[in-house]
Amino acid sequence: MTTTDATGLRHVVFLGNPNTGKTTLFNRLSGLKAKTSNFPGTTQESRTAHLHDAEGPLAIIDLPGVYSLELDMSEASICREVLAGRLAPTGERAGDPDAVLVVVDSTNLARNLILVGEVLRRRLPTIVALNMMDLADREGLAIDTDQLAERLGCPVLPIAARSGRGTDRILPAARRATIPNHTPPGTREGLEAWADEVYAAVVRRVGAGHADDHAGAPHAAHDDHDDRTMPDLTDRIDRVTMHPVFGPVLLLAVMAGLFWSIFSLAAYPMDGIDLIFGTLTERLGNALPEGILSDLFVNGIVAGIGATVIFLPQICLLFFLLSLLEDTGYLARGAMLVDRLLRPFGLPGHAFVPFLSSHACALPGIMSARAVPDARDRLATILVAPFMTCSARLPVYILLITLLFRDSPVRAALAFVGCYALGIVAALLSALLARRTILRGQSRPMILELPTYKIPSLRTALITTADRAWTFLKKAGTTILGICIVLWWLGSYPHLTQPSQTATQLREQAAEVRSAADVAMVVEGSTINPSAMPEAERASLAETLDQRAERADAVAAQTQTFMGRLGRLVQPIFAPLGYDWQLSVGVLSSFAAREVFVSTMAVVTTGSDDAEDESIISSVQNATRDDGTPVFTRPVAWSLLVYYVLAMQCLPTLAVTARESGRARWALLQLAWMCGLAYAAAFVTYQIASRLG
Amino acid sequence: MMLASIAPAAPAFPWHDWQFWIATTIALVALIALVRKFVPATWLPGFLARGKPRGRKVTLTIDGKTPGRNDSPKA
Amino acid sequence: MTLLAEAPPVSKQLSSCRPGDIGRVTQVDLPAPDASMLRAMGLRVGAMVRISRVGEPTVVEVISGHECRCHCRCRIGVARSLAAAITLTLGA
Repeated sequence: MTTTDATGLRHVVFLGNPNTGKTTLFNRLSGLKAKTSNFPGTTQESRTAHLHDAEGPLAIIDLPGVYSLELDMSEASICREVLAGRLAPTGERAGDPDAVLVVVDSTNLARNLILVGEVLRRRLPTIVALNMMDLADREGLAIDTDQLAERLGCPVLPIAARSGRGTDRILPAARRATIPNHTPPGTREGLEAWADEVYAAVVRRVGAGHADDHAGAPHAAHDDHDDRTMPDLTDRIDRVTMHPVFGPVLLLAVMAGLFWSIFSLAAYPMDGIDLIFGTLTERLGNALPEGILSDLFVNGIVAGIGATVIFLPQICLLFFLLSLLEDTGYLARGAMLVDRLLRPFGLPGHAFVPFLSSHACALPGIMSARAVPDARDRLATILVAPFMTCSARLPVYILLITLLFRDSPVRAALAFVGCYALGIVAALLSALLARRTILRGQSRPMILELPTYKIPSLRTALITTADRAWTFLKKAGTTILGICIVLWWLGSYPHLTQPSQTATQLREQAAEVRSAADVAMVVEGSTINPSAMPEAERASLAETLDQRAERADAVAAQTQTFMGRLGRLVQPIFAPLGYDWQLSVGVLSSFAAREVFVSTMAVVTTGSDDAEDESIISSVQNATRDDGTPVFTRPVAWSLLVYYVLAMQCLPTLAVTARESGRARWALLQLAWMCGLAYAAAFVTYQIASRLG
Repeated sequence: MMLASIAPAAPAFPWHDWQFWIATTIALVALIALVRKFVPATWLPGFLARGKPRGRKVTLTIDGKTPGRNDSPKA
Repeated sequence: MTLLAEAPPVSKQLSSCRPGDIGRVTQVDLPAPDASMLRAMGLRVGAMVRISRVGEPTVVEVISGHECRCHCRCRIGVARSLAAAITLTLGA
């Protein structure tokens, strides 16, 4: 039974080896109409697009790339299930596909024909897209597509997906696809021999300097080898990129460039977003009538949306650059080079990209772990990926490192690098421990195809970026918005019922200054007589005193709210780390989302939530405890820094861990381990720093 | 000497203010949405779990077995 | 005129080869999942390969199938431990 339903919607599945340009073709045909979903019961992604033309609706489904349908891997299993009509992406109806489009790399035809043979044996309407014909032409390969179609028993369409050549014929051919009239052999050996025979019959080598010889004609062995064994451009580039010494150095340079781009280029749009939301907040605050809903809207909802959107530039830039790098073929080389470094810790080279992505945000990083073939390797990667310093930690690092190394930019820079290094070391050691205990076993040795180097496709990179950005907004944005609303309420109620004593005293002083009272009074440690002061100076001082009174009220109000009370309640837990109730409030609120720490501290210590205001940041850094001592001493700052490097403080990441690992207990384990490690490390840091002064 | 106006005493919860009720409802809805999102359906009481998918068992193929291993191609 | 005798074929582990060596795969002594994966990628018994890089990782280029003298090229990177379990006949 096919999936064609009453509306006439036909389902076409795209299948092919990895690196055949299947996704490039899919993107070319679907544009931005594709949506990403999962296959039920798996974390395997699928992209589906619903298209319409004069002939009716068509749904195209991009299946994972597989070398063979018979491999014991989840990707191959999913492809088998879809072809058998028992599985479909979420939202689509399962059933035999109306057509199977096998995308084949024409420069590597012999191997690709094996997958074609496996599909032909399934007796489904099939067409073959012979992709990368432009590269085949350049390499002097001539493929007799008519003879190939005859031998396969199905249509064969030569295309170049990257340029779009011939792709307009794909969908019409898919609509008219029929069951092939040939059935290849069923055994592996038979299939391989059949593929070799077909290849020998249809491929010739033509081009300058080569005799027009038939691929199957007998000729001297060295003639075969002369052109096939000569190093090509990819070989020459690999001599550098895979060099034992230059290779890792180049990789380091590329990664450094990637990071520099993310943190410097992305700063411009991030500043723009900041400005937009700052302006929006101000205008809304002025436009809306004062009241609770206005406060919720401005400080809860808009702040919540802004807290997510601010990270979009970094995520977009990271995935754009990663997509370009992957498309060139370089990322596969990087993964192989890194494999040797990661395997002693029980991690595979495939973890390279998830770890890299996690430096912007752990959420897409953990989702990237789907590319790790082995289950235990994948789980280990998922569990330790959040140790990578993500963008949300940076405001905390800036606050604390500025405080610690105010006058030494070099030491501040080193401290920054140290934070990144600490996260990476913690990840590697945690993975090693996991592989020796709960995930016993060696990391599976890596096997990876290294594709030919290519000019990357901008179109593919842009579509991938848009897809990843939308996924991030949907998954993280909704969660962070909810968290900000809840935190707003907890931080607003109950209201302070009486003005604070400090505020009352300050207002009395302000009144006396304004009235030029002839009385000696102590203000900010100095004794003054308002009657002897010039009017302008009195007005300025009175205003300062009123502002301080407002802040004192706001700070006092915070202690009365649920958030403040909770902070006081849990403060004894954080006392060994040197944190008072104000820092406890900040740390508690950060458990939901790290990015709220600085604004929470601003509200708790100064009464203002304008975390971008430099004077507010300075005030936060100079905040005092109830007993008058500074909140942020050097030992406390060090302890807090170490805590934030290591702790799991991101609900969206926990949710993704639970989903990608298939069990909530892995997310709970991740939370417990990271927070426990953070607590212990922060405690040790505080104790050592206190003794060293 | 007149003292500067002191902020009048405010109720801990402004029960009389309709905006408080709307804001509190919104916060409650956000809290319930977060709880439903992160807590497995089997741990939730009935009224909170209603409408939430029962959780899908996701396989990482740790046992190396995946559904449909034995299907054979059509002859 | 003296004819130089051709060097007899030599059997070697992939991990012992040198960059530039060309040989035919004669044995893949690996667990089923890895052997199946390599076979599906084209590195099968009878395949002609050229060694691009040795060490960690080892990179081989599959340049011919079993029977056909085709012009396909695909590069496969494998860990050194896997390369040690693959036997080639050089000069065949």
